Amino acid sequence: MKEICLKIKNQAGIHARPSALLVNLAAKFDCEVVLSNGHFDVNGKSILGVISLAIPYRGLLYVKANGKDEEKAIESISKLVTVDNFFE
Amino acid sequence: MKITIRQIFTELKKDLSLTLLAGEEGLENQIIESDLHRPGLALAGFVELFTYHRIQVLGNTEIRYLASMALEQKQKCLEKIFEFNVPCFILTHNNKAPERLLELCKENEIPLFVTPLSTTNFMNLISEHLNEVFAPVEILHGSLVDVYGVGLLLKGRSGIGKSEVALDLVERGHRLVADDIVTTKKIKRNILIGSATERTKNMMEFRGVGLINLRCIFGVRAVRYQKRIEVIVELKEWDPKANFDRLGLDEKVTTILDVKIPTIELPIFPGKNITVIAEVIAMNHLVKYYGYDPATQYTKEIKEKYLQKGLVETFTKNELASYLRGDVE
Repeated sequence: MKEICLKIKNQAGIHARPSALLVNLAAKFDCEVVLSNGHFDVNGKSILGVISLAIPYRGLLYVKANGKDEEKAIESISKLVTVDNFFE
Repeated sequence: MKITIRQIFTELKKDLSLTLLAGEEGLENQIIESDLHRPGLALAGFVELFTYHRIQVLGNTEIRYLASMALEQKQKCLEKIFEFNVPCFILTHNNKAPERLLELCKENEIPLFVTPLSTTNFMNLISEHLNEVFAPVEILHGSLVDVYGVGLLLKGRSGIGKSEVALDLVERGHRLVADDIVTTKKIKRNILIGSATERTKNMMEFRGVGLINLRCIFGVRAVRYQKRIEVIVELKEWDPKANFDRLGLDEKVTTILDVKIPTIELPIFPGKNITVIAEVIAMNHLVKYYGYDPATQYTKEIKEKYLQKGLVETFTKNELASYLRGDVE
């Protein structure tokens, strides 16, 4: 299992569109992706779950991946969050 | 879990007819547990086990006790209590606050409220609220639907079709509580209440369609704010090797927050109408709830029939043998 904690740089936090990007990205991998806001975990492949995390600007997103391509999943997700900043 | 006095005050001001007498600055004080305390013994000077971090309720007894004392002694008693970090005081029965208590609350910035309710009544009402706030919570994955008044929690791996079944049930007149994320609270000793999170209320998502708002489409009858979770329906891929319950005699349970919830494993494959089965599961639960367990009753009846002497004799040997291999004592 791989784990990483990411800081959200997006001014609007993880709102609907970023959630969709996260979910679609997570769904590409053949591993279990669990996202968390520090209070509760949700399935990283479910959009309503990710939206309900309600992570604001400068909030922390915890990503856990477990399975075949966990390393690649973590890498791509952290790129989306920190480097690409959800393309916003 | 923490809650500030301000939160309690704004939410319960009306229901409990609370009036703030002093110590407005201390409204940000926090409460960390649902229990209440009456500081009678603390006032009398015994502070060894003084649970000062709770809401302190001053009833008739406490006020009468203070009034019975000489001025100097009364002040001493009160000052002793204020050595502790009390979150707030509440006077019941519209009792008048002793002068020194008001002063001390102002000085130490501790909120002091008064209510016309009786002590027991007040304690019951506020406990109800606090117990709910401090109830253990777990976030579950699944869809919670109210089917004929029974809370069915549909579970299963993502993409198996929980949301589709939930939508189909709504189509047929049942009500959705939460899709995907179910906030589950344990209240009393064995009741689980599921609700949606503020952000996902009324919403569903379908791959390819996106987000939809059920309340907009089906109206208010299609949604429900919260519901007790009574039966778990676990959707499983059809596996020819797996054993599924064929009689309904053995009850499987899932334990959530120490509460046991009856669970039904449902194999699915294309063409199977899960919605109708879900309705039947709900109705069967109701039938059992009203005291009739069809599976047990039916087995008992055939057992009795087979055991009647005449019937047994008309059996061929093979039939009887195969039957006896079953569960006749």
